[in-house]
Amino acid sequence: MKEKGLATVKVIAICLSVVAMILAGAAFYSHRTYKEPVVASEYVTQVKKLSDYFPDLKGTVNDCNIYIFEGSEPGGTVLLIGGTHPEEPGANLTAELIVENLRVKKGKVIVAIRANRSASTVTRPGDAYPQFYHIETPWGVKKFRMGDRWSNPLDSWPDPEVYVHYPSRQMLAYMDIRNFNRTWPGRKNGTITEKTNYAFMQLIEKEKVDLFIDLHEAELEYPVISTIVSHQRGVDIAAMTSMILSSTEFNIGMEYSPKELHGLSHREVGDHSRAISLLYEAPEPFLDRVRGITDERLLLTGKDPFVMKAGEFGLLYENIDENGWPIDVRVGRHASTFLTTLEMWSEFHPDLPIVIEGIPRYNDVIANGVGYYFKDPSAAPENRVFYE
Amino acid sequence: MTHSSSTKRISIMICLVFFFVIFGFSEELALPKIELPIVVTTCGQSPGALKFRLVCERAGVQSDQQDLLTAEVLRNKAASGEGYKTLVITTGTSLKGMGAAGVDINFEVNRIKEVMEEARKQGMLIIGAHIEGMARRVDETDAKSIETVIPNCDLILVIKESNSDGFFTMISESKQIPILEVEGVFDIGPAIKALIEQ
Repeated sequence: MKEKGLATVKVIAICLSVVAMILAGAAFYSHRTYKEPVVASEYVTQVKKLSDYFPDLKGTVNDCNIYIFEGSEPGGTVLLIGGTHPEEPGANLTAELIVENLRVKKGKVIVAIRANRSASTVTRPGDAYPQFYHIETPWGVKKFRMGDRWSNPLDSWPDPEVYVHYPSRQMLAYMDIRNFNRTWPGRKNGTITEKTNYAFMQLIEKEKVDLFIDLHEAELEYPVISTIVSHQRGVDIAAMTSMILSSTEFNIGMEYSPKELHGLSHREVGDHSRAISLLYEAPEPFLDRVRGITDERLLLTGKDPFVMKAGEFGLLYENIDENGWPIDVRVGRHASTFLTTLEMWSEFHPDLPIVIEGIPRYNDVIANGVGYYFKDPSAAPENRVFYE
Repeated sequence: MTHSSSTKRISIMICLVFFFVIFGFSEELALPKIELPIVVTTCGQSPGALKFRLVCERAGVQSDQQDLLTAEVLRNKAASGEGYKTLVITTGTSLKGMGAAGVDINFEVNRIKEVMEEARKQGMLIIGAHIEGMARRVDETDAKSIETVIPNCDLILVIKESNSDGFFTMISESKQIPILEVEGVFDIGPAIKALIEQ
């Protein structure tokens, strides 16, 4: 090619690259800055910020909303968090469903919908993750940010060669220094992720939280699925919850939290605070490595022929058929597990009851769809609309 | 048809019914009486032992849950004059549970073999249980746990879902071990109570 022709090709290539960067940058920016409206239940007592418990977080991406609901009668206190891993939408959708519908009669319920907000401002383009997903509601379509497992590198960079967990000094995978469920109990002067864990530990102490629940979803290739993982101080409650749900609504197992596996909420929150810690896992075929087309449809329906094929070869730890694992089923599981856990908590701790109303159970969520329970922010009083 | 031939046929049918009923009962192995105190452990560190204890408590039956029970503990209890009379071993494994306890399946198999040997010496009733459904019958470690306990126990205790493919019934028949199958996990407590009170 002549020199003039080569120069022309280079200029065109640069121009195309710049256009691609502008388009991608605009897409990344709109995703990172998109605000999800939440209409808090009329029974919400107060909405704080996480920085109220650890001022270092003020003004950062992870200064999330903390919704507090107090009953008219005293009792125990439960903290429920969604959004630990924002690529697991069943978690934040359940947390939001609770915030928008909850009424507490006895005790106190505290909810964070987007516990690690930074991880909800980035996806995995290389894995073809969608940026957003949409839920049908009676008043229109509600749009949510899809996220990643790890905090956004824009907020935490660079990663170390090896991540040494604090305070156990256990060596973990380098990128897990941005994994909100490998950095508990956090560190006051650590990364943004570690500081966020630390802030939640401060919240647990200051609000005298008795019971801590972390919502998750898991791939069907992973053995810890459709289960409740419990710190050793919560095993009776977790086992009873598992048995009652398995007898009445759906199969859910129970697992002990390994004592030597550090950084996870079910281990560290129980070890470093007064709270009993539990973690729920629901099935999400979108996360399976053997999945086919990776798109919003798979995220919300959980239907995938390749994951089904893996099941036929006995490679999965949970069943899957042509019905998949729809988002309504996954949210319904979390909702019923939460309700049953509180019933068991109150049975085992009659002096610290937590009694709530307004939250639909598994069959209700499946029958109506999760969107049925989300309120229209344009029709709600301004003082009850918050943004995630 | 004459009246006498009709009566004859009815009599033969009644005899046949009686024969099959009696034959059927004679094939069913009698369930043993359960004596207190009960100790429950797990082969594979799943929460099965915990669940057994909880559902028994609900039925008013106390049991001592020791997930890492050893032969030495059984010997010491017997030496103190407060030996256990019934040993329950739940099968099916949990990788998280074994991780939590710092053990692996080989450790578990050896521990349970020693515990069963000591229980035999003491004349204890050994109940092999699988009460967590098909989720605890998925891999090789689950199979090892089941193989160690179930063919060598005195009574097999299962919930219907665990035995949905008839696997435990087959072992029961081939090894002539009585089997107690209950509908769900909350039926275990009343069933155990009935065998204590029989």
